[in-house]
Amino acid sequence: MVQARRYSNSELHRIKEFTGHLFEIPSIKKEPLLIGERLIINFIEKNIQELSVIFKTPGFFPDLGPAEAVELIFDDIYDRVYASSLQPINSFLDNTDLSFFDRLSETGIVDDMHRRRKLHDFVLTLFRDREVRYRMYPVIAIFRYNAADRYMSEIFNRRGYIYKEITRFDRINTDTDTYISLIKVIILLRSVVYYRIDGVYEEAVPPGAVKIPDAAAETECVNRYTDGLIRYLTSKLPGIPAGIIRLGVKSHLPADKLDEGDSLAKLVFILCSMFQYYRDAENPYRVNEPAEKSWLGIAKHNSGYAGYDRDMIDSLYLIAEDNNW
Amino acid sequence: MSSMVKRKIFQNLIPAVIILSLLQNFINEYAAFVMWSTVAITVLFCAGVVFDLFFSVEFIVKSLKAAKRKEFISYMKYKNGWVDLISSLPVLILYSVPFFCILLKSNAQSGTISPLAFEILSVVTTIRLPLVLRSIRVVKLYGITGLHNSEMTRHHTSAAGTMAVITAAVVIMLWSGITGFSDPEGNNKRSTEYSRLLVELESAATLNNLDFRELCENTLISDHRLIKINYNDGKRYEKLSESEFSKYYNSGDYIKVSGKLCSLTVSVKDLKRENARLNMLIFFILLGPAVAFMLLYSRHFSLTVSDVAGALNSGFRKRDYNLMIKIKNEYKEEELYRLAQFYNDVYLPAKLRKRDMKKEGSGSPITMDAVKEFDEKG
Repeated sequence: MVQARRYSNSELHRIKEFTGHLFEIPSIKKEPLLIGERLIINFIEKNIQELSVIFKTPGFFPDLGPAEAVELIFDDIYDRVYASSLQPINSFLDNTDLSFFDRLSETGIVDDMHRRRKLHDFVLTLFRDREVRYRMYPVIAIFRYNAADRYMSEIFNRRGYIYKEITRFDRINTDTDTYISLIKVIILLRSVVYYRIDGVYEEAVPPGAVKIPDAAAETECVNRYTDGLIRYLTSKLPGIPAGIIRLGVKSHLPADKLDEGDSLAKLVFILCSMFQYYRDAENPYRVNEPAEKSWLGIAKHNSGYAGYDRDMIDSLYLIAEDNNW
Repeated sequence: MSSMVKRKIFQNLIPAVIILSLLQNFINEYAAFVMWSTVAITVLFCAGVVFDLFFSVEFIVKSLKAAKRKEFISYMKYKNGWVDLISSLPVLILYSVPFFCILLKSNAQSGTISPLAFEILSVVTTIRLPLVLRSIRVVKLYGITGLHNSEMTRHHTSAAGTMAVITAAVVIMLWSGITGFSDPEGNNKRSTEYSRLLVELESAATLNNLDFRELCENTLISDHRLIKINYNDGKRYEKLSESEFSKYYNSGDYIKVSGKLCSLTVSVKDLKRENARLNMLIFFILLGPAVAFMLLYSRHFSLTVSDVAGALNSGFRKRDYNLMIKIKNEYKEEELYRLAQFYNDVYLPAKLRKRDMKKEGSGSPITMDAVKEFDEKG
């Protein structure tokens, strides 16, 4: 890295120690690293004036300019977050066969390795953008806690309501592994809506108008936006069908704004909502329901308000209940 | 040594001494049951005196400290001060000190006991006061911090367990007092029995013109309870030598029965053995409920009450604590579970709706002081 040449090892070491100290602050330590990063960066940005003075003191970074120190701190935080967050996603993209997308694609056969590499690069691009990264927490959590694998396996074992709803792609095998991979790719793609792509927003959404995913209204606006996004992504993500990208975008919309064929988007919407605030909670009470069952139990009451498919919530609740998740 | 370390040592010392004292209480009875030597029994008795003294000092110190804080009434009523009291001073004053004095003054052969001390000890041992009050110390173990996560569990288990143990203790003391099946009562009966025997022997010797000594020894030689006969003319008949007698017989292990022509030394060890067997049973009757409340009821209470209350408390107070509470069918009509049902069905959904509506807060969990601590760490 450029900094490695410009700054001495002791300076970089001191920076590492400082970020380590920040992550050890009890209120940050209890949070996942990605959330901790957001809290630390928010703090630094809000208190930059005061911190600039502190950073110049001998106990901190007297030989660095405040801006340099902040830049190095941000870089070190990113390295930590990257190392802790992306491993499950990298592992998925390294080891999973995504060639089934060829059967869904309108653009012919693509080398699977090339497809996965491009998808990986795209995910990295999203992850490097701080604003997008903050919003990727549910995605990271779903991969970290194996949620897609666990729930899809149960859905396919039970062959109940969700199974019937999601197995509508008649051109691919209705086997568990394929659908796990499919839903994971949709989950990875859904964060693209937070990524500022020049031209796409401006074309679809006039300034001041409602934006995805904040709004569930303006179907026409969503369609225009999605079409623009697909045009942009087709070249970036070879071999990923437009329908899958569309599902990723639609997975931000409530169930009543979606069509019958969008069940995978409804399921992804529920999973991402479930893991939006997911924590490795320390639970000292034996009378508590497990975290996922609790969330789904509460979601039953909030399905109308939050826009969840109530039948899906009921099915997922039974799965969580039976497995004590 | 810092005050915190001292306090920690003291906190661990008290439970350890309670357990040792309970062990001593049991071994004391066991020793009488299996008829250990007088030395062993004396050592055990002295250990009992030391424990009584320790708990008396503990009570006095705690009382003085509480009084200094003007919390004496609170200590006595709510912090088991009354248990500290009844399990220490009464047994020390009414049993340990008098018996210890007797032990110092008397020797095994003569067994002299002052009438007042004898009366006190007679009543105290009849109602099994030392055994029962010392066993009550088990209740003090409820106060051990760290035994339960929940203060509510500790408090309710302690209250219920204490009530059970104290009720059992009162019943045992009343039963012992009323039935009178204990050492002094048995000794009196035995004394009467041998007095009557002596009178009969004396009458038989006089009426039949027989040699009293010969008649007496021929009759009593096979009596395994008889230790010694002291004739009024200075002659004596002994089944045990002096050293053997002092090895196996302590004051209280035998009685002296006086007649016109002789006095008998009669063993009451068999009565003591039977009494010790009963005392061991009583010990377990008192300990049983205490341990059951400590281990079983506390778990039940924790699972059905305090954990639910704790989970509700966390859910109401902590922003990120949003776990539902399990509600079993058998409890669902109980007040606490109806509250939990409301919490699951209404409060938590509303809490999450509110959270979802809320934008990211402007407050930060990091403080500038926390940042500056980096400098202090070096």
